[in-house]
Amino acid sequence: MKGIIVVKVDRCLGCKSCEIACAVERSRSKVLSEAIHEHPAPPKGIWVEKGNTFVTPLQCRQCEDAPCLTVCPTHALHRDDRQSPVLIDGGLCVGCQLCVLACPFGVIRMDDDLHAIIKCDQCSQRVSDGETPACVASCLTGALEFKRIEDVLQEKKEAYLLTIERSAETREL
Amino acid sequence: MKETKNIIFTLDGREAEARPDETVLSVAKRLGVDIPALCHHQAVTSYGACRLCVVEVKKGKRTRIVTACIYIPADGDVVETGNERVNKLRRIILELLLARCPEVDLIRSLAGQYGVDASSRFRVSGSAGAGERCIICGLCVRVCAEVMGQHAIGYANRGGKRMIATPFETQTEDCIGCGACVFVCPTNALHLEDIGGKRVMKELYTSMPMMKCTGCGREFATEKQIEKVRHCLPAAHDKIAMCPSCRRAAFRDAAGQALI
Amino acid sequence: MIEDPGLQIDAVIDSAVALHGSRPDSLIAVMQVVNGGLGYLPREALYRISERLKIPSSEVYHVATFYNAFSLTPKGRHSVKVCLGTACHVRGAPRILDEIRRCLEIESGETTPDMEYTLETVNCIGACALGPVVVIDQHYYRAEPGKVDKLFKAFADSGLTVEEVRAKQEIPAEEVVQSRFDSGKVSVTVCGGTGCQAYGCEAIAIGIEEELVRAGVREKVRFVQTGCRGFCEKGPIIVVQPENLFYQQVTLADVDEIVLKSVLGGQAVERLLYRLPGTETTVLHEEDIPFYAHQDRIIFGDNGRISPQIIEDYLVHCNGYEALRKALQMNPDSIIDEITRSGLRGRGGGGFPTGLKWATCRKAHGEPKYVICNADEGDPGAYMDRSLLEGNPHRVLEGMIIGAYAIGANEGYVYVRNEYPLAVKHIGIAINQAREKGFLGRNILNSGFDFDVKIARGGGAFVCGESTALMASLEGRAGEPRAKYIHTVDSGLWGKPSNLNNVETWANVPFIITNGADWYASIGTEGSKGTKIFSLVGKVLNTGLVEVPMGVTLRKLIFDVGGGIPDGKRFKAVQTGGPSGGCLPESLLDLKIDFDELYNAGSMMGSGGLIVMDETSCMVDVARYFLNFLSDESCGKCVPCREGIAAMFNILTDICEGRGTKEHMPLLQELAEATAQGSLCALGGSAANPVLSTLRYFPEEYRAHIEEHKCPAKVCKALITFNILADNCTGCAACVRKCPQKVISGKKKEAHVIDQSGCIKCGVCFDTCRFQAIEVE
Repeated sequence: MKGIIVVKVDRCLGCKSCEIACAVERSRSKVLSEAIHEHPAPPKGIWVEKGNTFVTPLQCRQCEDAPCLTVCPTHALHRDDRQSPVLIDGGLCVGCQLCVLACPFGVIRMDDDLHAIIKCDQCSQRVSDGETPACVASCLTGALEFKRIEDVLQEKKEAYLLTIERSAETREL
Repeated sequence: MKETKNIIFTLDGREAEARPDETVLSVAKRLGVDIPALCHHQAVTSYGACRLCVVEVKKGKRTRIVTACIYIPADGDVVETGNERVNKLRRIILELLLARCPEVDLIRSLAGQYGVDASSRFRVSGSAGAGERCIICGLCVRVCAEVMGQHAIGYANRGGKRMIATPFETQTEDCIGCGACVFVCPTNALHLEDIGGKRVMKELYTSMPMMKCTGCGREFATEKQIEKVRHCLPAAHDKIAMCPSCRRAAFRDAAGQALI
Repeated sequence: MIEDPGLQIDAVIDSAVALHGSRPDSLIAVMQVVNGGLGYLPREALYRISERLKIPSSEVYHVATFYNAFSLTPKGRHSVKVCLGTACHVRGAPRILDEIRRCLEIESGETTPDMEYTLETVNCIGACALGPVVVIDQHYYRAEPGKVDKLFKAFADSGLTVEEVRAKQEIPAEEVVQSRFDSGKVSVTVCGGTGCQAYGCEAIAIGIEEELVRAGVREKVRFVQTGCRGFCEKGPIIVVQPENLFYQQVTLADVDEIVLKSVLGGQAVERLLYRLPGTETTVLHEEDIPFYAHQDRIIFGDNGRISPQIIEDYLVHCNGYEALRKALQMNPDSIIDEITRSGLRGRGGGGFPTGLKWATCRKAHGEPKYVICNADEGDPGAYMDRSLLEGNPHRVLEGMIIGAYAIGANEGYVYVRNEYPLAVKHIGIAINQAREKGFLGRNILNSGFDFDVKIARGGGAFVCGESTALMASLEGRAGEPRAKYIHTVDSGLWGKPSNLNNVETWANVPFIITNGADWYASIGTEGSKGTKIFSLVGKVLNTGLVEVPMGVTLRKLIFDVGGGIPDGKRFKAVQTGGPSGGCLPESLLDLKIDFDELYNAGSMMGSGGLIVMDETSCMVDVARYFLNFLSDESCGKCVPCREGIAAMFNILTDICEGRGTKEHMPLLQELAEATAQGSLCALGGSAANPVLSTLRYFPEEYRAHIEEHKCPAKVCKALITFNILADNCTGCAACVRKCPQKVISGKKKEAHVIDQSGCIKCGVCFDTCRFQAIEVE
């Protein structure tokens, strides 16, 4: 399924289950109890950050016109099409970090211990197996969802229609 | 006439198929056959300098040793990547590398893998010795030239005096301090350090000013790196002069706006 | 007023670009002009060249540090170059170098503090018959051990003009017999080859010409300065016709008599004739001299008949460009067929069948195609290509044009070694003259075939003799070879099909076209057809360039043609094939000279250098010498060559300095195998040959060094001692004065003694002593 990871900020508790799930997914053992002992430590592609009055997870937006992909001189960053996630071919990466400097969101980074560029790839293997990305699967509050773009648009339209309807109702009363 | 159909050949006893213009090394990688290749990187042209990826090719009665990173198989070639002749040659090459760079872990571990004693029987180039880490694989040179387009470093001299150098072994204005050379170097012969507001590439005798983040004031990239990103991005964005942490903070705040 | 150095640099770069263009492949030529103009390459110049040619400065720096022609530091007013080629090595070049180093008090590569002299070594200057050679500026000298100061004095004196020298002589009256000159058959040819140049043939030629003018017969005499005649040991050489008088070792003082007695009077000047060794028997004619009589000078013989700078000579005396005319009437495939059937194999060292190479290139896909002449003769001890190119450039050119026509190439290059400026000059003149006459350029001889040639100079690197390195150099880059899994005939210069052949190979082509494949195949052996030009140098009486049919034995070449070993010494070994070849012992003297025979014996034909050695040569030292040469010339790209050669060299140094162990011999064998198999190109691939061949044929010499700590040939300094024989020593103290370390002492008229602890084994005392009182053990 081609989807995007959607964040409902008001639902985020800041528990960081998503960070842990992401790291475990990228670990060798795929089991938390062992993953925490691995060297080098398995990386995460998601950041849970505190704002003034809220907490929110942040990760790669898989931009349609991704600056990281544009700037990559070796095509290590690549994707199947503009709706698919941007992936990294580690064998082609030369560590120039142009992608890191190009990303407006600061969500792609160089992990020195792993000697690799790390970014969210929407757990593409899990998705092709019919599962949701690890962070989404781990989120207890539903703050992280994995949805098709059309579905997200549909939801927003319905929510908007609802507000129009509700305000009309209020005026009627 | 350029080959347009795939090539069928034998790799370590099993049938293998190569795309036209595909090297033995590339096929081997695909099939999970491990051939050591220190001077090879997918992102740059093959160079054939370290000679560790040697394999034996037999065609009819003719047998020869070739480097897998450059050799393109022909129909009917019988390729062996690890027979006695090949391994014997690899061992001597590793022993020579050990003599040159006795302290480099990668060489030591590869040597161990092939049963080569850590104390080499040879004495090699006068310029090498204790502390030498560079094996002149040229990955740094090729990455800087072919990928980054900067051509900041190159080779100098000939024979035993050959080395990697910036022109006149002094500061070069062509280096942007991206660190790709450090990243691809197989033996950690190059280093990058940020000291006192400058990025220092010690072995390149080069340093350059760093840019301070407009958000937090920390130095996060060199001025030349930022210039290059600007140059490579068709559409500018206003976060270029910010460090990734501050960019994330802005992203976070923008996400927070959705609540309102 | 001091001129702005920046302006000066820009001016020189401007002139360089005007001459050679500002393309990437112009780099080496531009740098050569700038280096020549400024004396070296200042940093600023390199950066400006980089900007001007739009080549990264790292690339320009690589080229500047790769080639010998370039210097990044200022040079002295005079350059002193000591040749360390093999022939010079066996004649004592290391001793000469040591003496000059002591004399100037600088190391090789350095300049004297007063900026007068820069001392450098060259890995073969190409004047092997003159060895040991020292070149000061453009002056060539044969150096003598113990007499280095004479050299510098001769250099100081060389400023004298011909007039000043001749003014010291008496001028006798002449008589001119007009009828003698009406026949038009009177001619004087003065050999202008490198060896003769070193002996001062220029002054002699000027002298002869002046004398002819004074006698009023200049217009009626054919006076020619020819190319090398081959008998370099006996230069300067003059031949007078129609009596066919061959004069050798001519001096300026002989000029008047030659003109008076021989040119005007048709009489021989006895003292200038060749004498059979050990006798007073003189020989009048060249063809009767054993050196020449045993040769078959098909390709090289024309050198003595023509001036290389006059195309008419080539046309008249060498059937010039008739082969081209014939070829242009033929079908290209027929030409290739003729060359194939002739059995011609590459003369540069590889011995690859030329016809096959041409055929493959013809079939290859890609435009344009190129033909290249490899004149980067780098084998120390070999200078045949130099003499062919300097002496008969049109022959080489004609061969190239025929080849280009057969292959379908419209562009060609002649790549000449940096150390051969005269060859560059002569081929340049030849190309211009050939263009004027319509043998080059568009629509050659109305055939519809276009072809033109450019000259490129090497930058000073032996490795550029390798075809892919040569092509890299033509492209303006450092001479690094590449793997030849894809051959250069398919993808060479700029990725296009390129046919590269050696100078001598090209020179053979016109003969094959004119006389036919069958004629050519009738000369030589089954596997090696035709003749081969060799440079016979080292410890041999008649050093020079010789041409014999393939199949002649080494014995015949060295003893019949070469006259054997001088000074009553014994033959020990002959080194063939340059640094890629091997040393063959006495037991193989009856080996037939043939590509395959030499290869099977553990050596190779190479380009044709034959260095003869006697009992004063140490074979372990020779192996070490070659490895030193190769480690200097290796491009350094691949590990087995760069590190393997260094490893072998260090082992051999240990052996020569008395630190050899039993393990060293099998270790050398292991390294040799690895270098041979693992190296990227033939330089590394054949680097082990000198070691392997000396191990094979002279194992007892290695054992003596390792087990007994002795050097039987008394060469390896660490293993020899110089002693004064008290019985012979007269106490004259001549050696005391010469000893650089001042370790000889003794009372006047009494036997002296050498203090071994301070002795550096330089051998000067041995050379100085007239009483045979110094013994080497």
